[in-house]
Amino acid sequence: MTDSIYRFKSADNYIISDDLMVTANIAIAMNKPLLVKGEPGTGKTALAEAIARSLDMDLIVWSIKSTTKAQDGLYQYDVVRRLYDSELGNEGVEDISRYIKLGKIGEAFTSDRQCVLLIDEIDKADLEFPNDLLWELDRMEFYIPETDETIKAKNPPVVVITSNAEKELPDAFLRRCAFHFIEFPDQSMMRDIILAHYPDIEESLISQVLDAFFYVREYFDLKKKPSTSELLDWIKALRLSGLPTDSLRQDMPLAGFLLKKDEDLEQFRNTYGGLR
Amino acid sequence: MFLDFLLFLRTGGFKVSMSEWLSLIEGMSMGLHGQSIRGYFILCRTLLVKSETDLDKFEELFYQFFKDVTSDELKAEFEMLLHHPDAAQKLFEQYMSAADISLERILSVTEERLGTFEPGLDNEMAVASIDAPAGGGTPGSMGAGPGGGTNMQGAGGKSIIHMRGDRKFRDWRTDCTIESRQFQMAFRLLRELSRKLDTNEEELDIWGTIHHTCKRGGILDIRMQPPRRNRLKLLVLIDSGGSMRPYEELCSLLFQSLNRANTFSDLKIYYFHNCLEDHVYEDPSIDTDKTVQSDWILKNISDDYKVIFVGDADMALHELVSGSYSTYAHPDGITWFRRFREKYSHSIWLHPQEREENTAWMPESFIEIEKVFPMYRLSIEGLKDGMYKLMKNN
Repeated sequence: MTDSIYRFKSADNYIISDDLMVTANIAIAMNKPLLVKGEPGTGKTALAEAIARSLDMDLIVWSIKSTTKAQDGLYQYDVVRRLYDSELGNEGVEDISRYIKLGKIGEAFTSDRQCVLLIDEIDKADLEFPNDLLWELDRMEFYIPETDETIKAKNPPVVVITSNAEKELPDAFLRRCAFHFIEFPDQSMMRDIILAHYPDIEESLISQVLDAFFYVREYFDLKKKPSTSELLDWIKALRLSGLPTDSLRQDMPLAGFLLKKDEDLEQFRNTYGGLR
Repeated sequence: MFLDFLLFLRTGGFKVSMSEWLSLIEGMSMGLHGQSIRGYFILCRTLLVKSETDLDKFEELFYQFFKDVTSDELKAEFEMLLHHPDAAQKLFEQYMSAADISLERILSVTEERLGTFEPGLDNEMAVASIDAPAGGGTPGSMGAGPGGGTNMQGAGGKSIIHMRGDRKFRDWRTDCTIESRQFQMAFRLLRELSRKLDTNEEELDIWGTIHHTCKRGGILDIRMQPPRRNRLKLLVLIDSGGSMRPYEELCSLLFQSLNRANTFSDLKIYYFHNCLEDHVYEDPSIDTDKTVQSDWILKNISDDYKVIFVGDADMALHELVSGSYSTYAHPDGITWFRRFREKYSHSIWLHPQEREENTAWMPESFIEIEKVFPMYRLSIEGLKDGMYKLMKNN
C-alpha cells in the first residue's frame, strides 16, 4: 500500500522530513497544489526539484516577481507584433493563434507528460495574484478568449507553490491547497543534509561546523538568521579556503557566507573583534 | 466521532470549511492517513491548516480531542460488536463487499491487532489504525487491503504525544508578536486605487490606443491616461509619553511601518499627550514649540482622510471630561475626541495593551473612549480588523 499511495520518496541529495514527505504525497495523490512555507533557505524550491527527480518528471519553474500577473502564466497575446504585421501587410495576421504564446502554466497544461509545476515565491506578486489563479489551478484549465479556445490539462501537473510569508494569501486560495510549513532542521537532520551534499566531508569538520552554526543561530540576535543554504555555502568556502577548522566557534572565519545583512555582520564584528 | 472532531475544531475557533472537510474525507478514503494516528494527524494538518500561525492552535485542538481515546474504550466497543454480529455486519458491510472477506476474518484480525499493542503510547496507534476507517463512516474508507498488513506506524513511528506536547509553533501565533513587515502588510489593506488623481503624470493607455488606432483604420492614435495610484489619505494621532512609555518600541515600529509602507497619497502623523487638547504636537518628544492647533486640523484636513488614534486610552477622568490639568482649557478631551469622530467618519482607535476580559478592569477612560471610537488592539490581527473597519463605508 505504501508503495502505491506514497509515490514520492526522498531523493539522494535532498533530505526531507517524514512529515513533509507524507504531506507531499498526500498533495500528489489528491491532486492539490502543495503550498510550502518556511524560513528562506530551508529547501522550499529544492522540494519541487526533488519531486520532479524522484517521479521522473520535467520541472517547469515559474518564478514570480512583484510585477508578475496571473495572466503571464497562462498565455500572452502579442498584440503589438500583430499590429506591426498588419501595418506591414505580413501574412498570417488573421490567424490570432500565431500571436498567442503560452506561459508556464499553459506549458505545464499542454505538456504530453505529467510534469511538476513550481510556482516560486507566490507572495512576491500582488496581493490579488493568487485569487486570479483560483479557477485555473482548481479546474486545471483556462480559456483564451482571443482564439475561443480552452486549454485543458492533458496530464494535470503536480503543483508546488512556495511562499516566504511576505504577504498573506487569500483564504479562498488557501482552501484549495495542501499546506506544509518546513521547520528548521535540527542538528541530526542538518548532519544528514550536509552529508547528502558533501559525502566525503570529514567527521570533525561536520561537528565543528554544526556546533558553530547552531551557536550563531541561537545566541545572536540576528536580523536574518543563517539557514541551510548558507551553511552549505559556508562549508564549501571553508573547505576551499583551507583555513584551520578545529575551533570554528571561537574563530568564525568567513562569516560573510553565513551572515548576509550589514547589521548582522557589524554585530558579529563587535563580538569577535578584528576583520573577518 | 470524526464529525465531532470537525465541530470541535470549529468550536475551538479553527475555521474549517465544508470543502476542506470533504477533501479530508476523500483523503481518508484514499488511505492517505496510512492507518496511523500520526499519518492522520499529518493528513489533517496538510488539508485543514493553512498558515503557520494556526499550527499551534491546531496541534493543541488535535491533542485535546484525541488524547482521551484509548484502546480500552475501543476494546469495549469492539466487544460489543463481537456480541452483536448484526451491528458488526452493518458496520463492515461496505468494506467486506469491497475486499471480499468474511466478517469473522475482520473481527479476528482486528482483535489480533488490538491485542498486539501494549498499553501506553502505542495504544494510540492501534486506535487510529482501526478506528479511523470504521469511524469515518465513509463508504470504502478502509484504505488498507485485506488484513491491513501495512501499519505505517506514523511517519517514522514517532510518538504523537511528543510531537503535540512540544508546541513548536507557538512563536508563530499572530496574537502576540508583531514585526514591522507584518504591520506594513496590514497597512497594505488600506488601498483605494483610482485614476482620478490630481497628477500630471501619464502613462500609455495601451488598450485605448489600440482601440482608437483600429477605429482610424490602422493609423496610430496614441492615448494617454493617468496611472492608477492609491488615493488613500491617512491621519495618525499617537499618544506619547507618560503611560505610553512601555509601548514606545511598539509605537516606533508602527511609525516606521507607516513611513515605509509609502503607499498612501498623503500621510500625516501628530502626537498628543495622554488626552487630546486644543493643540497636538509635531513630534513624539512633545515639544511645546512644535505644535499644531487641533482646530486647524479639523478645519484644514478634509474628511476623506482616514484617522487612526494610537494610545492606551488611560487618562485621568478630569483630563477627559473637564479640561486637561495643564491648561484647564475648554472644551475638554472627550469633546475633542467627539469632534474628530464627527468630522472623520472613518476613524479607529488602536490600543497597545491587552484587553481585560471584564471591561470593568480597564481604566474608566478606556470605556468612555470606546463609546466614541471603534477600538482594536495593536496586534497583527487587531490591526487588520481595524484596517477592514477603516475601509468600510460607515
